[in-house]
Amino acid sequence: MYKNKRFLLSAAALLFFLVLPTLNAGATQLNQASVRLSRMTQSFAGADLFVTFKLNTTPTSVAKVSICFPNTKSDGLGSGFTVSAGTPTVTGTDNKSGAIQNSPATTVPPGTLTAASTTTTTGVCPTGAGFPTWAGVITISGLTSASLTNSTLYGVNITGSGLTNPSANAQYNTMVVSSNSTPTVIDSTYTPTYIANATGDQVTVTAAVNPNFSFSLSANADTIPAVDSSTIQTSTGNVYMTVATNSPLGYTAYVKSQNAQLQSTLHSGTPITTGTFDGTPDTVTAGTTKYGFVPSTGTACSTCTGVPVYDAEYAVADGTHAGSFNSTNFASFVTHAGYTNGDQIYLRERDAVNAAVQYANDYSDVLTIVAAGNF
Amino acid sequence: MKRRVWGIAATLAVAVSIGLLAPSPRAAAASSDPGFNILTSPLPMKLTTQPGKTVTTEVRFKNLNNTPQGIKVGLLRFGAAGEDGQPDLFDLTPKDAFASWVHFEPAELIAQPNVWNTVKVTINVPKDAGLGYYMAVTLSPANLQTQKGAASLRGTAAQLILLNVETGKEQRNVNIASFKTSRGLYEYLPATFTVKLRNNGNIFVSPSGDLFLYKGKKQIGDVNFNPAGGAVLPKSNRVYTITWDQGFPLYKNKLVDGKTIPDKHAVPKQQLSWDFSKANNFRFGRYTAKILVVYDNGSYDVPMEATVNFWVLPWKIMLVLLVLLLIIGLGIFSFVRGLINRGRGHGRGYRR
Repeated sequence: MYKNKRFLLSAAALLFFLVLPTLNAGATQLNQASVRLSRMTQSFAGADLFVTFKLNTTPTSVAKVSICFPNTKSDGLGSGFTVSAGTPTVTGTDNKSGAIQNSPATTVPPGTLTAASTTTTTGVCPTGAGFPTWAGVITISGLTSASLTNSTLYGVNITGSGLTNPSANAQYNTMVVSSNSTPTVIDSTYTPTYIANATGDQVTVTAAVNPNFSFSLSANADTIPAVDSSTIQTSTGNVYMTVATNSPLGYTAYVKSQNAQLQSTLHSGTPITTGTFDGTPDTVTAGTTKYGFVPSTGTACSTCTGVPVYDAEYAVADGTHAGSFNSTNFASFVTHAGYTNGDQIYLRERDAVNAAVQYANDYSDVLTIVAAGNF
Repeated sequence: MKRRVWGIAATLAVAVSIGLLAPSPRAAAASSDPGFNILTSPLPMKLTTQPGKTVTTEVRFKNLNNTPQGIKVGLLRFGAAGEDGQPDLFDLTPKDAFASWVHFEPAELIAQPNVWNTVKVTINVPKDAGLGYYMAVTLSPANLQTQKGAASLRGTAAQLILLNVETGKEQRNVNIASFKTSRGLYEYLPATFTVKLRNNGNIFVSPSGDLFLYKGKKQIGDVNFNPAGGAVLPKSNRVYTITWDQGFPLYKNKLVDGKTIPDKHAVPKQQLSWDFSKANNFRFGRYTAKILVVYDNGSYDVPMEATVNFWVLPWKIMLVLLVLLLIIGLGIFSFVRGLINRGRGHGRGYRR
């Protein structure tokens, strides 16, 4: 009998120590959990949630995860969240890199996830001494227990939560609870949240952009290849101007020739003269003296309204015409009625000579290119 | 003798090496010619002052080249070229008395790369000055080396100043010369409107306002008029273009590699865009556009109105529907006629 008693005591002691870890597990917290509200301002209705959790142990029977919302502040005073009964939407994307929403790297829990919000918290949210009273709970169901591990941080978005934030700015102790399908609580942990005052969770950003106008000329000299009475020559320097402006009024560019002709100091008697400035390009023919200007679009703007439009005098699309210079006034040659991030306009000169124009290598002219914003 | 030959050979070798290594004048010119690259702010400046007073403003600019650039500040006069807000630039003449009132500090400077520079523009308006003065402050290279055998190019950025000298005699008098649509019938939006304003006063005016769109008596849209503050110079016209694009489907500029493609008339090519999130903007029928233009006459805001009607008829869709209706109608007609004929046949048989 005595022996039997010793045996029974030993067996009871062994059984107690075997069962003890299970009881301890019920009292432990989730390894990691957080609840992030999309808006933390007081009285905000309809905030979305981003919930993360990591299990304590695996294998596990966890099939549900609930977020319990207190109806008091963390000090037990005042009022807390309001939860409306409904079926929020659970969404999620594996966030391996942590790039999404500036969040930690998370994985969507395995299973066909559904959510329900309710004001009935009995059996889900812990109660009793030390626990707050609860306003409601959102429960995510459908987790595949067998596939859950305690090495993964899981995360889901909950939209259409039916949640209304507390009306006072203070700390509120929400709680994330894991449970089995019954549901019986397995683990839980507090996830304190601070509710800010009416504008406390947002920063209004103001900025200003200065009006600007940029103008560049790729080079200051352009050479026309040597010409004779059997050819028409066009400058080969590929000199271009680039104009950009953020004014919706756009810009206009002008050209003015110093001499309206190419002059040689060696043979000043036979200049290469420009044509007639009459709103129409002049025909340039080999053997007939003519000097003109041929602007054309290079790289077009990519962020702009409208396109560069050439004045009739300079609207040249072939190799046998050129616009004439106005030596007394600035002559507009292109305009763009709108903003542009950069119009590249090639500026070429074209000439032809008759047989009597004397040979020299110093024929030259000075072109002033002006660009101004429209008014 | 040998030493002398070696000496000559060495001298020749050095000379040839220098000749080979030294860049040609054209190459040197090309590599040392950074061009001219400047960013300026602000855009057209509108100043108001009284006779006998001094008004100042600032022109800011940045040399965007990688090397220092000498900059010379100059002055031109401008007027209105055409009716689209383009300035017509002129060199100053002795008649342009305002040239002596305008001073720049500094008038010439070395602009370091990527550093903002400020030129203070001081205008000492004499007591006998009055009304409007329209000038352009120019920023150009201080020293341009002209090259023989080439066209030398002098780049200049100009900033416009519209100066109003209030004498009490200024008259602001603007009226709407015309208000019309680019077409009376559109298949789809956008619809383009032009309003021509005539400034009969003696001072520039920057009008503002709204374009309201109506279907019947119901307002269905509005577009801000002249948000950029484009001005009408005295004794001139100004045409403003307004686009109404709150439609579905909508013609938009065709983009290739993110860039608009102009047609042979320098008009951007367009293509139809079907954004079904804006399907409630489907337009059909007769519309009315009412332009409300407001300008300050010095004492109060003067409103002006004009109205134009236009149609939006998606005629291609209508044509397809019409053809479908015709086909269905013909089908029904054939079917009914067949039934009637069959009925008659039966009737004849029965009579027999």
